[in-house]
Parts: sequence; structure tokens; C-alpha cells
Amino acid sequence: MATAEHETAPPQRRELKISDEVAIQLIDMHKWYGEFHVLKDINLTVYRGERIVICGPSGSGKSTMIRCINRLEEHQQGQIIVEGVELTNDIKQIDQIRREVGMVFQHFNLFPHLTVLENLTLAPIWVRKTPKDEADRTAMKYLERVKIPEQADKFPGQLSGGQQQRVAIARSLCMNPKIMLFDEPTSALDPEMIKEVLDVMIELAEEGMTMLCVTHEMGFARTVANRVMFMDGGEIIEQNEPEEFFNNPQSERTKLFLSQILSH
Amino acid sequence: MADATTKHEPGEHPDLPAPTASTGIIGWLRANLFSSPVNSLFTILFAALLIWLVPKLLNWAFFDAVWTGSSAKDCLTSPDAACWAFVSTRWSQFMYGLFPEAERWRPDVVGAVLVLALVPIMFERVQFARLVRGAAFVLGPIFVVLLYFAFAGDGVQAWPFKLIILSLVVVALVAAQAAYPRLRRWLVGFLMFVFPIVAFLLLLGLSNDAVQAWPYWLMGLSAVALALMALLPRHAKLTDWSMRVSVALVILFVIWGLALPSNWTVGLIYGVGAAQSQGPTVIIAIAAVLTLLPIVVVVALLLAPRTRSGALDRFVLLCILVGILAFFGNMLLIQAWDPIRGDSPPWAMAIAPAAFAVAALAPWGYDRNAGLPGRIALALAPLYLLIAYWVLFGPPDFFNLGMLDWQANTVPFFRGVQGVLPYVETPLWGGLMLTLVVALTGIVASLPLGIVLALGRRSNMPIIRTISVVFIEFWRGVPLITVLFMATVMFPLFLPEGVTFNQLLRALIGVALFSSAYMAEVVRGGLQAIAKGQYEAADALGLSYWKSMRLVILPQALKIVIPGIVNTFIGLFKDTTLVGIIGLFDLLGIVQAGLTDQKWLAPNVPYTGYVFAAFSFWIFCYGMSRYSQYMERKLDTGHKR
Repeated sequence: MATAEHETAPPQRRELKISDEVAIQLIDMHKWYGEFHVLKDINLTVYRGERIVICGPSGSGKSTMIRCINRLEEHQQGQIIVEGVELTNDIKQIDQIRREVGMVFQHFNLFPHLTVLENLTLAPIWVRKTPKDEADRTAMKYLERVKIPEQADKFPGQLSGGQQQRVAIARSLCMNPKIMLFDEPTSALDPEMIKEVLDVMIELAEEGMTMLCVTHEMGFARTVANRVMFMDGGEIIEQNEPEEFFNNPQSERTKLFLSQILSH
Repeated sequence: MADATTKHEPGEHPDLPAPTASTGIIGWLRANLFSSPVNSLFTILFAALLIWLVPKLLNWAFFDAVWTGSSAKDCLTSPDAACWAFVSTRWSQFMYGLFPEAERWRPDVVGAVLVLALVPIMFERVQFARLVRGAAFVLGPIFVVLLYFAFAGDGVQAWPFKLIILSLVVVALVAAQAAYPRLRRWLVGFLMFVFPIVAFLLLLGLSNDAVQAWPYWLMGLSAVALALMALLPRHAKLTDWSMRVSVALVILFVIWGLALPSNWTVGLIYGVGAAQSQGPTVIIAIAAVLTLLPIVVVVALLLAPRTRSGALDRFVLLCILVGILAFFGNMLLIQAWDPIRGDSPPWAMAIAPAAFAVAALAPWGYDRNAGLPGRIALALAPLYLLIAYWVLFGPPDFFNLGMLDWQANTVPFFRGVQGVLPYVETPLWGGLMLTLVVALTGIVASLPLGIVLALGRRSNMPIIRTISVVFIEFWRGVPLITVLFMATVMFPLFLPEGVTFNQLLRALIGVALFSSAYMAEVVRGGLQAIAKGQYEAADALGLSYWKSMRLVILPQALKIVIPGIVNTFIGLFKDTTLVGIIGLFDLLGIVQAGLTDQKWLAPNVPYTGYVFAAFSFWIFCYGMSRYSQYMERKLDTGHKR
């Protein structure tokens, strides 16, 4: 991504409150795809209110790691504890965690056969058993927050990429999650649409949402993240505050990666 | 003024109208019919073909055709044209087969009810203006033709008016359900749960066996009610369809248990009499309590307030218990005094404890916090009991309950029904009616079964996957004719001695299983076309497997494969002609049978008959095809721009 210096937000960082309660804990976590060792000995503690940006070359396992957190991928060794619940094969615990963790995908993954409003209310109605009118109200509230309430009755196919991604964020928020995972939310967007999505994410961060974000938007990382993490070859190579991370990277691999994505 | 030759500053160019030669009729003709010399040649050749062919066809089918007459002699007056007299004299046979003439109102009613309920559902949320326009365009000409028929012959015919009234009511229903969306839900519920029973009862009527076996109908109903209650979703409310059906069944059940007082009053009197003559006193005491208890409970329930949903839940639960107790109490009572008359069947002794088991299981079945496997297990409880009975005492003597002869006297109600709806055995069914029965049953059964099989084939569980694959590959690999033959010749070999299985039912099952295998593969194609991201998004939102299938995956997958599904339906519809192989007379079969009639031996009669049969099939298949295109347009949400 060449768009390191977006005009996404003013350059100064805002101090946001981070609690000392643990939201997510990954302990000695390993994952294999068949024989291939994708994630090696991952140890990570995320405190409530943290905004972590994860970057790294493709194939470094960053997406796989956050997908393990809501069990879209299964880990084979170690522990993942989300909001005090350990992820095991127990379907009830998986469901419990998925209800607390929202996810936004690179390709939005909106449901094309449902209107925007129905996309937003589907899970609240069927998973949380919210009455329909209440779910509608909540959905409209979030659509207003992502600034597209007028699109409520359109189908996703009729919206632009940026609008679709904002709907996807609103869809996750409707489930009232404690944690949000973003898997390259702006990578599939045209450049002029990236800003509108990042703005929504920044707003979300300012409200104190715990966020794990796989992205190459370094401007976003500088403004919003309180921790930036670099992954390569299935390992967490380095993590630090954004200022330190960008100005004073420790490992050679990080330096190389940063020079590659910031140089042009 | 602006035209294409004027130059403009960059950014200032206005939108200009398209050149006239590329729009309008002329433009269309030029672009489509005369775009090149070869195209022009084909256009002219095709026009010539039409000019040559169409008059011939019209002459054959209409102008030279024989419209009235009563035998081959009339047909021979115009041997080079159609002889519609053959069709019109045998019309009712082609429609109903050998269905007794006095009873033909029954299939008519079934058909009318089906159309009334189905059409409004098919045209959901049609705009009123479009509806009126469409109705005027489609029905207007049809009405004119119908009116012509009404007055064409001697005297005024009634049936065209019936058809006109039916179609007007249908249009009114479509309009009504556009205004009241709830009507649609009721119609769907009616079609799914009430209509099959009504159609079955109306078409078949009540046989002596069925009258004899009514306790088993009750038992079956109780099993269905229990199963439904056990399977109810966790947060079911009284407004949910499943709840409605269960409650309806339970109420029916209670009415049958209590409102046929002949059962228990007669039983009680006999019971007391039996006790006095040193009968099995304990059983009679239990039976009497069981019989009286329900009345007490129902009275208590009627007096109790039931405003809150919790109270309602308890009400439904109690209804079930009451129903079961009332029914089995009666059975017990009956058996208690039966020995006095000298015949003591063993099954009574088995059913009594079974009744208690079921009654005791019901609360757990009703515990909606039990997991799905548990609830399924409970839903099958009645089946276990049946199997247990089978193991202990041999096959239940379903339709030959000699010892229940007395019921024929105590329940004159059923005799009354039988008077109105005498039994019409299925070998008498035939013609278009039989075709529709086979086709509709196949269509209705094959889609859900196919979906389940398709999901099974994509399951992560090896056993389920293997079962699905084996099922699909077996049924897909066997010709339908073989299936039907096997059903006739081989199937009885596997049944216990004396148990017979209706020929039509065998064909229905064969056709349904056969087409469900095709359907499964069609649906699987749709499932595979759904992007992985859709599954992941549904998972990430916390939807369970079945919910994500029902709400996210299947709606999209089925939409994609509508052409394939309808293709299978059309294939199935035409394959119904194969039931002729096993001696059933569907539309084609009955037309062919008519051709062998000595009275109608004329060269143009076979053509006429086959054209008639072909055209009848074509109308239905074309209707399905058009409807599928309509559905495709309606469900298009502009995803693939």
C-alpha cells in the first residue's frame, strides 16, 4: 500500500483510555495448515480499550492470527482466552465468544440477498433474539453513525465499496461486541473510499472499542493505534508504541518492511 | 443547437440524443433482422417458413377440425384435421380417470383450494396496478373464450362460470395479501399443514379400515404433536407456526379424547359393571381416574388466568398431558371391560405403560433448554414405543382390529363422514388428476429432501456425507423405470407377510426419492457457488449452522439454481408418465387407453389424442418455466452489476 500518508486525521495522536482488564490472551499458541507451521508460539495480551495494528508481509500469518480469535480458524496448540472464555471445541463457548467479537472482512462479505437494514438486523434478531422493531432502531442508529442511513433499504450490490464496508462495520456493531477484529478492511477499496472507512474506524477507537486491525494504513496506525505489531513467518517479530515503532524499529526485518512500504 | 459536429470546450460537452437510425422500430429491425446479408437471408427464409406452416397448423387444429361428434364416423368427415370430438367426449375421463362420477366434485374442490391458496403465495407483493393490468391481459381473453363455451352448446353451461368466479377470487386474494402481508403466512401454513390432510381425506375418502383404525390415527396425531412440541425452538412463542400447529393438534386431540363421550361414558358404565362382576378391579380404578382426571384439569385450566406467556406455556403443556391421559385412559378402560366380553388382546397391556412413559416424557420434550439432539431423541419417543411394542408383540395389526369392532357402533360419526366421503381406492384415480398428484407430491417432497441431501454431502461428518453420497449416487444411477418396477415386484418381498403397500404410494415414494437425488446435486451446485466469505460472515456473527444455512446460504444458493430446480421439476412432471409402466393411468396413459376404443378407430384420432396430451403437459411445464423466470427477476438484488 502506497497510501501511507493519508489525510485521514490530524497527525497528532490522541491519548485514549486503556484499562488494565485483559480482553484477549493468546498463550503459546501454534497453528498448522496440514504440515505447514503458520503460527509459531504466539503470545499476546490485549487489554480492554487497546487499538492494535498488525502489519507484516503477506503470508506472515497476521490474518490467520486474528481469525483464530473468533474461531474462523482452529488453533492446534496453546490457549486463546477471549473475555475470560477459553476457545475450545465446545460449540457453546465458540458461540459465546463470537457474540462478543465483531469482525470486518477485506471483501465486506455482506449478504447480497438482504437489504442493508436486513443485513444489520439479521444477527440481532436470530442470535440475540431482539424484537424486530428494536433491532431496526439499533440498526438505524449505527447506520447514522457510519453516515449512510439513507441507504437502509438498498441492496449491498447497489452501494459503493466504501459504503459496503461501512455497512459491514455497522453490521458488526449491531451485535454490540466488546472487541472488533478488522482483517485488511481497506485493501479492497478504491483510494478515494479508504478515508470514509478509516474515519468510521477512528471514531470507533475514540469511543474506547478494543480493536485488532490488520492493515497497511500507516497513517491510521500513527493516529489511532497504541501498539503496532510486526509479524513475519508466523511469529510476532516486534511490537511497540507507534512512535517508537516507526522511528526506531529494532529488528532488521521490520526496518526492511517499513522501508518497503514507506519508500514510494 | 448542439449536434455532434459542433466542437465544445473540454468539460462542456452536452448529452446529445442518439441517432434515430439506432433507436425505434426501424433501428431494431436493422440491428436484429437485417444486420447482414446472411441475417437478412435467414429472416426471409424464416418468414417464408412461417407463412407456409402457420395456415396449415391453423387449418389442422381449428378451421378443418371436427369439434362435435360421438364416434369415429364423425372424425372421418375431415380425416386430415384434428378430431377434438374425441377429446371432448372423453374429457372427464382424461381429467379424472375412473374416479366415480358422483365423487368428482372432490378432486375439483381439492384443485380449487390448491389454486386459491397457492396463487396468492406465488405472486407475493405484486403492486396493485400491475396486478390489475396483468389480470386484465391474461384473464380477459380467457374469460371471452370461457363465455363462448358457456353459451356455445345447447343451453348455458355452468363450468365456465365456476372457472371465472374462481379466477376472480384468486385475483382478489392476491390483491388482499398485497394489502395484508399476514394473509400470506396463513396461506403458507394452510398449504403446508392443512391442505395435505384435506386433500388426502377428500381424494381418498374414508375406508372401512380407516374407520376401524381411528385410534391409531389418534395415536399418530399425538405422536406428531409430541414430536413438534419437543422440537420447538427455544424461544418459540404462541405466534410461531410450529407452536400454532402443535396447539391446533393438541386441541384437536383433546376434542377427540373428550368430546366423543360415547367412548368413555360407555366405557365407564361397562367398567363399573365389570367391577361388580369381579373384573380386573385395579385396572378399572386406574382407568376411571385417568378418564375423569382430564375433565378436572380442563375445567381448572379454563378457570385459571392465562395472560402471561409462561402461563400459556403451562397451558399448552397441560393440554398435551390431558390429551394423552384422556386418550390412553380411554384405551385402558376399553381394554378393561373387553376381557369380560371374552377377548383380551395383549396390546392393551403394552399400551398402558407406554402411555405413562409418553406422558412422563412430555415435560422433558417440552423443555426447550434441552439441546437439539436431546429434543430430537424425545421427538422420536413415540416411535420407540411403537418399536418396543412391535418387538414384544409382533407387528401391530393396524388395519384389522377385530377386537375394536365395537367402535364402529360407538362412533357413528365416522360412518357419517364415510357417507359423505365414500372410499375411492387409488386404482380408480387417473388422468390429469393422477398426473398432478404424482407430480405435486414429487415436487413438494423432492426439494426439501434434496436440500438435506446436498447439505449432507457437504457435511464435515464422514458418516453423514457417506450416507448422502450413497443415496444420491444410487438413485441417480438407476433408471426411473427400474425404480418403479422394483417398487412393484421386489418391494413386497421385503415386507412382512400380509402387509400390503398401496401401488400409488409406492410410485409416489419412488418418484420423490428419485428426483430428490437430482435435486440434491442441483442444490449442491448452488451451495458451491456461494463465496466462502458468506459462510465466514455468518459464523462471525454467531449464527449457528442451521441458521446460517437457512438465512444466509440457502436463500442465495437456491436463487442461483432456480433454473436447475425448475428444470428438475419439469423433468419430474414429464417423468410421471412412466407410472403407466406399473399400471397406473396418468393423463398420457388414459389417452392411450382411449385410443384403443373400437368406437374411435379413425386415422386422425391418435394424432389428436397425442397432441392433446402433449399440449396439456406443455401448458404446465411452460407455466413452471415462466414462473421461474418471474422469480429470477424478482429475486435479483443487483448483486452482479
